[in-house]
Amino acid sequence: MHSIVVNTSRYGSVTTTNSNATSKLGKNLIKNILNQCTNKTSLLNHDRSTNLLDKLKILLTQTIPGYSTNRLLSLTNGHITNTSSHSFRLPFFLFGNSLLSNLIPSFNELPLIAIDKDHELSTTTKNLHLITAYSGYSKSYLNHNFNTNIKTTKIKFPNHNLNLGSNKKGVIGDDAWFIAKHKQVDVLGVADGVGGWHEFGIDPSKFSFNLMKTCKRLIEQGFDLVIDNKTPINLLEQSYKTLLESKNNKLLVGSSTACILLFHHDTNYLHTCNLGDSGFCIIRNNKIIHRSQEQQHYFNSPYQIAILPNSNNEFQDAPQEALIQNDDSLFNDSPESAISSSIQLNEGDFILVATDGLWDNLTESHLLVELSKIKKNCLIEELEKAANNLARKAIEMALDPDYISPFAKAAKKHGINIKGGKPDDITVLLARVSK
Amino acid sequence: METNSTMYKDDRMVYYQFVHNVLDFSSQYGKEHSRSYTVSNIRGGITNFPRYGDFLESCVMRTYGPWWQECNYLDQNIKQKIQQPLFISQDFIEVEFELKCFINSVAIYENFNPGSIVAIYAFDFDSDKWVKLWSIFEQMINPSNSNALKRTIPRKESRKFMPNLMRKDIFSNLLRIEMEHSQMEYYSELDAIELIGATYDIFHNKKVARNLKAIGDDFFKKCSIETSFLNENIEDETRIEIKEISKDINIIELPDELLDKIISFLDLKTVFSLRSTCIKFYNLCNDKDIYKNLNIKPFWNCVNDKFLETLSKITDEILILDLSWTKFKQSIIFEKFLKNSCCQLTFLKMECCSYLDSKMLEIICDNCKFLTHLDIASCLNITSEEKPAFASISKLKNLEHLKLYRTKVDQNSMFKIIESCQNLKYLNIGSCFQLNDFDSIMSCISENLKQIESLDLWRSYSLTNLGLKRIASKCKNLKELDLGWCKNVTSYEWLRILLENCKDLRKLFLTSHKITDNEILLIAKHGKKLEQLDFLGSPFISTENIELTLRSCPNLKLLDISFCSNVDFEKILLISQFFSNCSIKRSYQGE
Repeated sequence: MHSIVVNTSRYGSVTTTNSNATSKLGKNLIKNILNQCTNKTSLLNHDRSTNLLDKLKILLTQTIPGYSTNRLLSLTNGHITNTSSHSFRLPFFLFGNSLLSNLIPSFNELPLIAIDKDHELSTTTKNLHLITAYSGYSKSYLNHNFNTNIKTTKIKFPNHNLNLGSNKKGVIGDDAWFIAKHKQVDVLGVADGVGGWHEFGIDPSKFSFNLMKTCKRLIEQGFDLVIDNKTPINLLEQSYKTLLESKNNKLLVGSSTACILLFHHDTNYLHTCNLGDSGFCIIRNNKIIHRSQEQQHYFNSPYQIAILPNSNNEFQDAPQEALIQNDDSLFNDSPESAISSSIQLNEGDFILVATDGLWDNLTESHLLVELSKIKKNCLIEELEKAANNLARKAIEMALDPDYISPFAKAAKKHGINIKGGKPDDITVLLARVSK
Repeated sequence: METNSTMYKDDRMVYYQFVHNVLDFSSQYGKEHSRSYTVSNIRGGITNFPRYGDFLESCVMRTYGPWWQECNYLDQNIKQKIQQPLFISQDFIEVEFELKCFINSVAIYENFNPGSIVAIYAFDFDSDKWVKLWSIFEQMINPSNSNALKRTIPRKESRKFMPNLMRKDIFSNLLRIEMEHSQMEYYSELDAIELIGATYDIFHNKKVARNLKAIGDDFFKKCSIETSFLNENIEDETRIEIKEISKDINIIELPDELLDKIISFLDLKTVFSLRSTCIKFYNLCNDKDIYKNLNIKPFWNCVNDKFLETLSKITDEILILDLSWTKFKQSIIFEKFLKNSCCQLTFLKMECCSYLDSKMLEIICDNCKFLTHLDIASCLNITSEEKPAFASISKLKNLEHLKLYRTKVDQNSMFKIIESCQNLKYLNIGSCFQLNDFDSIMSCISENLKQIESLDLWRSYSLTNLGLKRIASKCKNLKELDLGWCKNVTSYEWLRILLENCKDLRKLFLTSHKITDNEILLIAKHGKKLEQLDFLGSPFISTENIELTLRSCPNLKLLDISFCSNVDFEKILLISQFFSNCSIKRSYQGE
């Protein structure tokens, strides 16, 4: 299917929606139509009735070889109901604009072409995108009963009068996460603030939260870069540098792991980067087809990016400075040391992004059992339920003293003999590739 | 489009759009290409509003307050022979929105120190011109520059600023916001700009309907009200009076001296209009004296190539010229103008002139041999790729003041300029992101420009202690030194040398340097003449030493101790009443 949405803006911002190969064709087509219309006095000025459609029809068939008139008609049919009769419905905007050009004569430099506006046409060939649900438990929840913490990320227009940034949405314990959308990309990210900072009286979630918040902001404000497999790393690096530039450096001391996934609508590629022991996996047809690698300096000490108090620092008089500088568990790795990977996704694939609270406590079979319960063409509610179930399961396992968790297994490899799960903050983002 | 959070459409088909792209701006606080305190943060929707505070996600301009003008020779007003028009803007941002629409209103979300916005323009594609939608003068009873400067600054809380626009018939997606912040108490920060309008003109249609109704009402009123004939009578009388007066005096018959005097009360635009009325005025307005000192910046949106062409015919001896913000298009005409009219120039300001390219700069430097002041800040189209255009500045041997803020000046050109312009007293190379070895530039300055008085090195990331040591030991006339955000300066041996050598130091900016009490003690001991001090982001200086500084620097006017977390600001506030001449700043950030 080839669909064209011609923006009614008279200065011709033109959008065509389709898969990659044909969109160029679409662009040329629109160009052609616009040219023809500007050259001839007007396509629309004289006879605004059936001739408009006829002329448009001819133009379309002339410019797209191989597309039959019928096909095009069937497309436009939804909007311009009956082509042969005189009483077809003019799109609203066409009416509005032509009314205007009557009122203000100087406004008719460009003719008005209007085949709708409101994307009804494009719904049929909408690109793949991500639907994402999130869930999580902070460590402090563990002592209480399992209150769920589910929310959805259904796309809504932000109420532009409301304050969107003030609440601490996006923080679970020391973890932080974000979901961002902009034009051609969906971006997900989780970051696990390194808990060691508690000892120095610093809230580790501050750094992870600000890092994720900045990533989200950069995406939403239009992160102007070519999208390729390096984009997530660039995004991470840019946010890190942005934080380094803050006037209030005291607020941001801390360190964090990070995992950022970027889904590009045009190519259906998922570009990822992962630094430390958070991670993601991709499930297709109930099989894990890709899983991120963990990065550790040594056991239970993941790679991390950090803003450390530097030599002239806040803790100068306090003995804590020495503590921080001698503390082996605090590293400062470069964002570039993150592992990046890219994979093409199909409709129906699941992406599970989570902090180590999940990976340390759940095995692959746990994940697959939960995800297999999700029906095809699922709604966001089902994803939320699944995400929440995963988080709850992870907590249950974490509290089971006899369970041989993935964490315990890994410990054994390093010669540490422990049993049971690993209580930690758990953040789960579950996304499905959908049309 | 619907998934894009920067655009929103309500059920009346009115679009609410946030900034899609930044096209141009005059200055910014943050580092070039960064996303902290930079203009590019204006893009997209609301981030922090209505939270009030100094956030790195905001759009912040480079300066605020009266401080910068006090020392900076380049910002002094140009004394023209004719009148200055109403104009106070200091900075601007030009932004693009995705969808063109009939602009009905503009909402600006200000989240720190509101009140700096003084004008809003939109680009009108029909006339190919920037059209004023609103300006501060519009709402004043007696518009004058001094009134606008003394305007009431709104309360210190975040606000959504939605001025009443003068025109609502502009179909555009380009906006320009102009700011004036010399009255602000601290940096003013913007969160987002929202454009509200429909893609077709519902508002206009409503207006047409309203007008029709008004005409109708008027008509019926006239029919019924008897007093209407009275009004007519009055009008007749006044008409007669005017006729009588006009019989006695004809303005053309006034003596030239008087007409000259009258012309001196007009502004440039009016002079040009008058010039095209009759031969008498044409000749009077062609007086070269009028155009000796010219400030064209206030007319940036009304001057065009034609104007430049005319000007180059009228005069060949312009001495002082401010062409900042202008948008001339044809380089040939500009070249002609330079060659015809600008040979005598001593002062040239061309901030944010995108048409100023490498070739033009060379022509300027070849033609205007007598230049003592040159300001080409934010002219980003001068590049050094093909040939080092900036090096031609070295031909201007008389140069005393040079502002290259936010330009692409390269290392080698900088050396050449410093080596040959030995009279330089003021040099601004802040945010010149292509300079990558400030230490060798500093040593070059210390050898060649011993008499330098003012150095602006804002965000010179490659500058270290070494370079500063050289400057401090050789340049004893230094009065102003701006080292804001020179993040690689880590030890402060140079500071002692500087303070001991430069007895006349008035301004010292150590923004984000994390200095300690040792440095403060040095400053308090030696910097008796200091007027402006900036210690922003120094978390370990103590309250006692700030107090000591205040006591020992009696001339202090500005002291910025924002984000100095060890300083007890309450206490400083208590002390500050004894130092009423000094304005103590503390920025803050909501939690």
